[in-house]
Amino acid sequence: MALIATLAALGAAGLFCFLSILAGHRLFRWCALDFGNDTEHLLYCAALGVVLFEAAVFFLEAAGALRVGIPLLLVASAVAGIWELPLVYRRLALLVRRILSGTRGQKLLFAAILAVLLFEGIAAMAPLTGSDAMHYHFAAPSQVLQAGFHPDFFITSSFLTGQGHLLILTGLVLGSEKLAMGLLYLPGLLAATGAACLARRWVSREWALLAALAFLLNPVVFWQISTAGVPDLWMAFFAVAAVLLTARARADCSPALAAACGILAGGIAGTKYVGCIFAAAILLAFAWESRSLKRSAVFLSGALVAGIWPYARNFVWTGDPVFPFASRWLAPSRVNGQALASMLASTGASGQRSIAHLWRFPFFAAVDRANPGFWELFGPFCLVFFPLFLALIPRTAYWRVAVIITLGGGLGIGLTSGMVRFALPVLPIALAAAFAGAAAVTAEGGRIARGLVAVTIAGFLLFSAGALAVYARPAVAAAVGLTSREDYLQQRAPDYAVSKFVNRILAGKENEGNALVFFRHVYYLKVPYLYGNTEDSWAVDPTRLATPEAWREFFRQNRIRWVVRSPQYPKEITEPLEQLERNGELTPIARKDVTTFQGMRILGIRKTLTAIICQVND
Amino acid sequence: MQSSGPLAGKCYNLPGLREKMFRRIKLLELLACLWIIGAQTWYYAQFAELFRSVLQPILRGLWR
Repeated sequence: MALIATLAALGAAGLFCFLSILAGHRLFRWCALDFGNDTEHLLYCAALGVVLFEAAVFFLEAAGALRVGIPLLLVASAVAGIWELPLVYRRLALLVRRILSGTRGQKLLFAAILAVLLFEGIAAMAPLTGSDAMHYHFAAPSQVLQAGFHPDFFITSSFLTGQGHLLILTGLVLGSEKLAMGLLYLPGLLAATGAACLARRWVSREWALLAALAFLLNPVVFWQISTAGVPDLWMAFFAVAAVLLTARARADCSPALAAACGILAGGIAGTKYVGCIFAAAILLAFAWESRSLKRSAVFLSGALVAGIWPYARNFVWTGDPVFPFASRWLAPSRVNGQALASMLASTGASGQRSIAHLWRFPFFAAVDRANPGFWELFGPFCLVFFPLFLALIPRTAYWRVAVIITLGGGLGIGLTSGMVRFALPVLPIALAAAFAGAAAVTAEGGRIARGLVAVTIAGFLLFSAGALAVYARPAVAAAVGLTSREDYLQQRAPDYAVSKFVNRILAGKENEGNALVFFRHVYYLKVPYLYGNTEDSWAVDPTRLATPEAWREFFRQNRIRWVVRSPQYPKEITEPLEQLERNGELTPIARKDVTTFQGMRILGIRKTLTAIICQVND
Repeated sequence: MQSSGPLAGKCYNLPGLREKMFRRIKLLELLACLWIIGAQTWYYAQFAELFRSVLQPILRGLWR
């Protein structure tokens, strides 16, 4: 049964991709744009279709019409694209024929790519266990479904959700968490195809396929494509498609091309705040290639129409389009200093920057030595081979655009966040370029150089394949039904045991009020809850909630009926809450010893703590 | 004497030129090899502590 559900969800994600291609194909035909290369054309269609779908879902969300609107939108996409079926089918058939007529080496590489994609796709269908996803990527859309479209100041990170999260919302509206995960797996597949298309501009098909395989086996990519539950790979796909499209800007002077490039850049900016950096790099590359202010203005218009919506939402709700990062200047009276400092630290925005560290970002070699993690392990390819690409590959439009966007995006991330994993959107571009550099050394170098290139590539790919197998094995077992959903979540999902305990105790009391919880991973809570950890809750400001009276008023305003501590309250608010307990205004009604992870989940160290549910007495 | 092409009309000691080019290519290749080895070593060294902390318990478990 689990296997059937897994395959059905993957099939549904594939169908969504196909509908997006059909809709995009129709739009490109209206604009009289045809790019000749079938694979690239289909990629542009998918990108355009998805970006416009996201923008449409935003309006459905704002109008409170998600449950009716999303199925209708999908049907409308199918109807609009039905006339494109023969043309799209012809392009797909040509693509398949080209793959089947390849050399033995190409077929082997293609089979390896398919095997990796299948393994990652199945792993992606396991129940959600990603830490950030359980805190907000999935939890925030889930709250929208339950409580409607409203600002949630209890989870500050909910303001960071962008248009990529509307695809998660789409999956949840259609009743399937697996489909939501499938819609986050899809961009990995598309970005890998984009990387191969870009690499093909410089190297043979074998090398291009190798670049795609290296992208899919990259540890950060296989984490994001399978279990992470985050939409960042959509930015990677839009970015590589934008490179391919922008490189045509000098030869094709049509405003439609400028608008299409802008829409892709807008799609990136609309996914996440850091997307603005990549969108700016794409604008720079477009302006450089087109040498036209007028077409750059068209580009900008397309970008705004496609990707401004999360910023407009945040501006209307808070007065700060990039809430909470500009609140210090735009709404200083409403700043929660502790939550802001915590947010700046967790996103790396408050980190130190130096030239000696900055140059490493475009080469994916910036590692935080004090706290290194696998989320920084992008492999050595970009560091080793990207400089060789810069030196050895002819400076065509593709070279220029790839270099501007990779360097611009990488340096921008280094300057603003200091976390190399946020540079993921330019990874397929950097890898395509890196493999072009490796191919050039192989073609021009002697036996030793060729051997070193082969060892470098084979070494990291073998390591990555092994790491993928070890990392994703439990998820695959859960997705195909070898491990039950319950066992998998007990073993892998942080804070699952405490969520289950709260659900059990408060079941049937949903109408009495909300539960205030302080544990981070709230996705599996089935009762109405408010997140109150001072580190990431704008609403719980220790400076304003310093007395029992303030808390009494806070409970009343937010209909808080229960407070769950596990085992302590956050230290900044311990004093007034413990005073309420001593006064008998907070009475423990249930307690249970639960296990959760200590430190990094990958280390598998668990600890037992006591969760206590207190009732608020009027 | 070259009779055609960009070097037409100019006199070159071709064996010497080839040797010079060969040496230059060898030098470039040597630089490329050193870069590939050096950059990788530096890259992996940054993760040495992380690999140790993750692999050690796994290997210890396998040993038992």
